[in-house]
Amino acid sequence: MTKGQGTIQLHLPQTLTGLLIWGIVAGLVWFTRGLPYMDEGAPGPRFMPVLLAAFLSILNVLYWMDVFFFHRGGRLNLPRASELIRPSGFILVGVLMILLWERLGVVATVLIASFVELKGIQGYSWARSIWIGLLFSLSTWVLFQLVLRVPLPAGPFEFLLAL
Amino acid sequence: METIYLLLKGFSVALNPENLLLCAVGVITGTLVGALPGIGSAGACAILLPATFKLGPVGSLIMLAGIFYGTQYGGTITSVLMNVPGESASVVTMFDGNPLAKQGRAGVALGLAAIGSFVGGTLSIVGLMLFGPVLANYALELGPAEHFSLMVLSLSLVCAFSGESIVRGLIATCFGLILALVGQDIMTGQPRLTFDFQQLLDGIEFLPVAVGMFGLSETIESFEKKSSMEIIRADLGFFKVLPSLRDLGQSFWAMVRGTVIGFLIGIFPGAGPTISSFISYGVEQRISRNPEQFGKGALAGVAGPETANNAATGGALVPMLSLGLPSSPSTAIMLAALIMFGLKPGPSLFREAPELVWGLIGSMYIGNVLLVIINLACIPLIVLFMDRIRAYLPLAILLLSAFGVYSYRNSVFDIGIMIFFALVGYGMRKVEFPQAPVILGVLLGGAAESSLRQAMVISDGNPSIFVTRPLSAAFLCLTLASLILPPIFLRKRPKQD
Repeated sequence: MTKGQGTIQLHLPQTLTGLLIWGIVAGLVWFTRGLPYMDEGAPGPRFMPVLLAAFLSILNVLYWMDVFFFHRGGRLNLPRASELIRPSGFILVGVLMILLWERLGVVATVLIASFVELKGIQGYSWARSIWIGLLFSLSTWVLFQLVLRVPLPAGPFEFLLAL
Repeated sequence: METIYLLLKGFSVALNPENLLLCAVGVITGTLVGALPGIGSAGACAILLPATFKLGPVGSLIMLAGIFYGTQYGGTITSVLMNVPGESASVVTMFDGNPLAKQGRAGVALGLAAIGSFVGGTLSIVGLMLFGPVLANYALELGPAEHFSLMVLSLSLVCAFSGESIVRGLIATCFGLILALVGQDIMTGQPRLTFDFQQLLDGIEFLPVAVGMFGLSETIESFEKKSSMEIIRADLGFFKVLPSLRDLGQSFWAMVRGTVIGFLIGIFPGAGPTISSFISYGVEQRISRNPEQFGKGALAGVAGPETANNAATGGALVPMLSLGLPSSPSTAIMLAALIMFGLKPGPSLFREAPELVWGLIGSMYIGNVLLVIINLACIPLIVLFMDRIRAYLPLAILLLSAFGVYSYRNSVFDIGIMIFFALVGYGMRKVEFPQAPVILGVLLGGAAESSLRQAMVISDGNPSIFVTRPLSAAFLCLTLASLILPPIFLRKRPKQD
């Protein structure tokens, strides 16, 4: 907490960031505990993780000092909750693609993902979203499968490839 | 004489029809990427890297380099016509380019920027030709201790230049180095931080991390607010963008100074095109007879920085090709491409793969000629394209990223890693942590650990080897200086002003 113009500020994002860094430090030390620190007089597999954990601890203390005592980086330009809806939607489209990629094949996945992005997030008309979705799904298939010869999953439409 | 022979050999590689086409595709893509706000050169290189796998190392590097220096040209268009920088290196161009456009001189601003970019880009390749092989010869003498210290120096320089806070830069570097620890240990083969995931035994791949952090996180951020960008309509035909001899005369020395500043600053890791353009602008303003004109449409305020940011691209390739050290995220991705093709970046590259290095250099000369023609003749087309594609850009980026990352190992897991690091990158942007050190940390982490442990094996576990070997000690002293001096200067500056 810092004193800023008569009020006490919590700097929640920086506090959480610092705690996350402590978590990483603890994780580095804990999850490498079974590995040797030194190996026949030379550094072993645990040497670098412990070295980095030590550095990160020192840097994290400096980071909090920077924020709480020297008031640097105290004001962040964070989005409001309402501004996070569209970015979250975009990320969910990405997650949807991962879930459907091998199950439905990439052509159907891209069509669905494009439609959700264009209609749901960008707010385009049904017809435009479907048209553009079709265009994207066919052009990516042609580019990667036919031109660049990347073996893409076809899902239930695998039989079409054999035709 | 040998340099000329090698350069001619490089031209013969670059003028091969396939490579010429790849160079053209690279520079056109770079120009469009530079012109489109929301995606930078690093993001574009990362997204398109997998698509270049089938092209072989020479073709891949020619195309990626074309994107890298092409973006510096394209970024100017939005800066001048929309007052929105397409690239961070074009921020400075807005200061005088947009006022010039409002005065009805948009064509002159764009023409001068294109010619300045050509001058800076071309002369910096001459610098690359002269300095690269010399530096590579010296670098062959370096042992593991020197290599480790040099990598530490380059990472610290990236931190020093990458944001307001060195501490946050160093934390980001450590994060990148930690990611590089994941996978089987390089010497003993024991799994480390893999959490029983088979897919992590080979380590976290550089590509999904780079695409997520640079390609997608910018796009996610662009969704926060609906932006309304207005393009200044102007006649941008070929003869309208050709500056007069008087305009060129006024900008000549600004271009010369921009070339020198850009090339020298471009060599330093982390500095790159953005910082060189700001320094060039500052220098031009300080030595101008009419400093009050700056910000209101000074020609030198466009020509100097635009020359500098292009000259920096040639400078940035010097440490990448001769030392195997990336100086920016874009060069890190090019370096990753070399590694993926099984090549060993570094001093031996000039000897072992001369057709690649000199083919790249030859293609850069050709690419710069193509770029100046495109940027003088096709601006109306580029503006039209920007207008049409902008709405579909986020979707196109998501799809290209997913396909690109998948095609590297045919793994959906990698797409998941990409989405995860897009979120991490977005979070880092929000809490103002730089992302460039993470990428360089991931790329250099394995080699840094390997050099550290090799050096310690040589010295029987005695860490004093890093300070008793003169060159290693010098690199470490420079590292300390790079971390200590910037905050001291920054603290002193307000007092002086």
